Amino acid sequence: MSHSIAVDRALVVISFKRRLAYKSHWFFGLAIGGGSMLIAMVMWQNLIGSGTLSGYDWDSMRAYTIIGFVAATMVFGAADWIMADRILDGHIAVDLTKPVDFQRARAAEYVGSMLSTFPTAVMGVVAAWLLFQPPGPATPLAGLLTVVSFLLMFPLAFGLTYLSTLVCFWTKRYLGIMWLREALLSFFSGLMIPLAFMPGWLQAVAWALPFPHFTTTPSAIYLGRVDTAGALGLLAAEAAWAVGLWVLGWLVFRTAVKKVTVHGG
Amino acid sequence: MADTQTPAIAVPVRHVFAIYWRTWFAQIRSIVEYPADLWVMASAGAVWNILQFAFLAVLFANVPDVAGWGYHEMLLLSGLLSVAGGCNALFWDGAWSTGAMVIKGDIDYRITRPAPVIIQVGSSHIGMQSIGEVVFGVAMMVYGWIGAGIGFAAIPIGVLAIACAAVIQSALVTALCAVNFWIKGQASIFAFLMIELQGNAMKMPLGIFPIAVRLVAMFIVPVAFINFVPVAVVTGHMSAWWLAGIPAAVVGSVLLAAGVYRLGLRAYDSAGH
Amino acid sequence: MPILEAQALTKTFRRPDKDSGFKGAVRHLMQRKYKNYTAVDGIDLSIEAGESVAYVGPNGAGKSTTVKLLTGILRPSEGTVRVMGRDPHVERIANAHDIGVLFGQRTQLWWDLPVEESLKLLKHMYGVSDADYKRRIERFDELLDLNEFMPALARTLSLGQRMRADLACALIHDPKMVYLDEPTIGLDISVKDRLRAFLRELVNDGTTLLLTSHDLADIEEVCERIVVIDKGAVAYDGSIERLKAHYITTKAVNLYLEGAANVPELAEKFPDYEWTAGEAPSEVVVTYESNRFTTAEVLGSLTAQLSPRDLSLSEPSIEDVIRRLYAGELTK
Ligand SMILES: Nc1ncnc2c1ncn2[C@@H]1O[C@H](COP(=O)(O)OP(=O)(O)O)[C@@H](O)[C@H]1O
Ligand SMILES: [Mg+2]
Repeated sequence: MSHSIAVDRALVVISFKRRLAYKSHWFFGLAIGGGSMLIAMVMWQNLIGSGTLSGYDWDSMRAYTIIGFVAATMVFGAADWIMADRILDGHIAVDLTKPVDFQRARAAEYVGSMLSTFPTAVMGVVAAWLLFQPPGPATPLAGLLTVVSFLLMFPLAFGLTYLSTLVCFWTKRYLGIMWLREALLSFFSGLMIPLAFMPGWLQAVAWALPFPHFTTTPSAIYLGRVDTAGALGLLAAEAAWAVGLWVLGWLVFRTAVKKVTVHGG
Repeated sequence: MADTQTPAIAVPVRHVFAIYWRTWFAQIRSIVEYPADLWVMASAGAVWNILQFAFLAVLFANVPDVAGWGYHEMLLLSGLLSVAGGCNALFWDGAWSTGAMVIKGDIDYRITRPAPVIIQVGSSHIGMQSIGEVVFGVAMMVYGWIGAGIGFAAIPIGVLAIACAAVIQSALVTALCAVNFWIKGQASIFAFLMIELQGNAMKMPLGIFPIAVRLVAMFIVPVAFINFVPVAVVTGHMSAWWLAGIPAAVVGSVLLAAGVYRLGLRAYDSAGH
Repeated sequence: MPILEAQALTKTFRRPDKDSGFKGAVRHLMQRKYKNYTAVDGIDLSIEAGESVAYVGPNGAGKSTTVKLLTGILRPSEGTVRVMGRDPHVERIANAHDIGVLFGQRTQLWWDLPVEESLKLLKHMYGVSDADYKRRIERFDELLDLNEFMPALARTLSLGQRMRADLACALIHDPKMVYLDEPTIGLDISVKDRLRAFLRELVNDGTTLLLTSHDLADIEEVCERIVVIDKGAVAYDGSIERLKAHYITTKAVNLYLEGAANVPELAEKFPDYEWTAGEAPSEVVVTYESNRFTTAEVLGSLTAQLSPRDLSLSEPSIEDVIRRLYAGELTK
């Protein structure tokens, strides 16, 4: 295997450019993400008013909702279909003959496509900032750690998506798997409703899954709902999930590929 | 000869229905071919609905009402929305493939057959997630119905509301998917945009939104008549007169879908191969 | 009155005008530009009931586009089409009962259903009676061996099977006017032969046929009339016989000599004929103008003076003629 950083970089760039070429992706990413953000704002403003709910007041809920928007734009806007299609249409057999590591190559492409959501995220955040004027991070350090948690979202999102696309080795279609993943992510990340609203047992279930790191972790750090030690602990957990899912993906792929070689694609 | 022939559009309605159902049943029989897919899709639909249920349960553990709407009323709202989307997937999922068919030139053969193209496209696929959506959506509705203490007398309204919701939802999706006759693309992004925003907004009482949003949802893209209006009427949030708007929305959206599709077929360029 | 009549038929497509590559794509997004491309350019075509017409031309000549215009799939940019007196786009459904269409590159079978199920759906759609359906399926089976794959799912069929199934789909309602766009594309010889035999029967039974193909054997075996188009315009329209008689003005003899052939020397000796080297060193091809010399004359003079080991006459080929038509060497 002669899989170099240069290959990774090339794949990132190609996938980034390919996605960026579709203006409609930007527009619809913004329309769907921004629309959902506005709807959530209306709902929370209506519910919270001038009081607080589970420790969130209207100020912090505005910041929470914007963070949720960025996370959703990044994970829902990435190109998961490309991976699934390679498996479903049998291209995988060709990929296996290439001197690049399959998982690394898909990771590079995925990261590239996630990066391409950047314009959408920036436009949405700038507009939301002007419109809603959310509070800044609890401390400058909290702000910095929030950025770190967003960076860790790249490998984490890949790990999750990659694992779920591997299910396509056993099914004929990807759509249902994608929906299942997105539904679980929306709910257990806190995107639909903050985890703090949930009963203790449901919170425990959520924290036993990788999903909370998509909204709850960055927002908890940003809003200072955890202290620095707690923030570092959350980041460590997020990183551990990223590594764990990578290894799991590698193991599942090894098993799944045997199926391909046995059946000849 | 030519002058004794029936004009182009005159296919007896009964024949059209028969064609539709035959195609639909043939697909149903083919679904069992891939049990893994059936289960993945059905559980995706079910999980999505269970999580909607959970969302409301969690929310109402923290708040007593949303703009005067209680837990069970909101369950009805969400449930009916799911059933409408589920019926679209169950009975009219092919509409979502319009864009892909236009790009690949797959409309070609359908134009050469003696049946409405829109019927042939609409019946060309069944979305199996619908099984989960419809079952759990109805469950949510029943639970909400009983919890809200609506009673048996209004059940016919409920059943009729479901039928109308399914038709309006499918028709609006079809009209938006048909935009792909002009704006070429695999994905039905306009329809997708609509159901995403509808899914987020319409599980809430319409009253919390600004007036412009309310007007759009009632009269421009009449998604309010899918779930909000019928539920608001049976729960007493709106006067019964509003029910009259539902058939109007049905007729309007169906005419819109048929009209956009017709224009789309005139603009259809097939594919260059 | 002709069963099909097209006048000044024209189709112009609007194509996005973008440079290749990333920059081109981005620039296209900023300022959408299009250029018009005329795929079919003023075609006049008239087909009488019962005729079998081959519609040929190089790739991209506009054959498929013409078929789509004639079947009502596309609306003409200019000109008119009448099939049995109707405009196929406007009176789409009435027209659909009378026509059968096959696009060899694409299938109309329902992908996830058994072939039989697709045929039954079409039977129902066209309102074919049970008795007619049974009779036609039996006949298709005789000629195309349908039953071999009736229960198979469409997506599991081989190309040859798929094409036969699609042919049955196109003909299940016994249409009067049949359009086949490259029905033999990608098929192996034996399937092609069967398909051609089937099409000959179809024509003998009085069905009007318009066939596009790259395979000239299809055309010679099935059709009487040939329409050659190039760049969207008709280059020749007439009987295949006339095409040959008119344009095949040379014939050729292959000679196999005892030793190696010396082409320049032979050319000097017989200046009336044209000499070219053959595949083997001892082989030469002699080409002569058929209106100046009879074959007997030519053979007589050649065998008398060269005493070749063997010789063979090549059949005049319409392939050559069509190639020259494409190249613009010939005019109608
Ligand atoms: N739907 C379309 N959009 C744009 N261009 C097209 C389309 N269909 C055909 N063309 C172009 O028109 C020309 C003729 O195509 P076609 O009729 O398919 O040729 P043929 O069947 O003779 O090979 C080609 O250059 C093709 O690219
Ligand atoms: Mg062609």
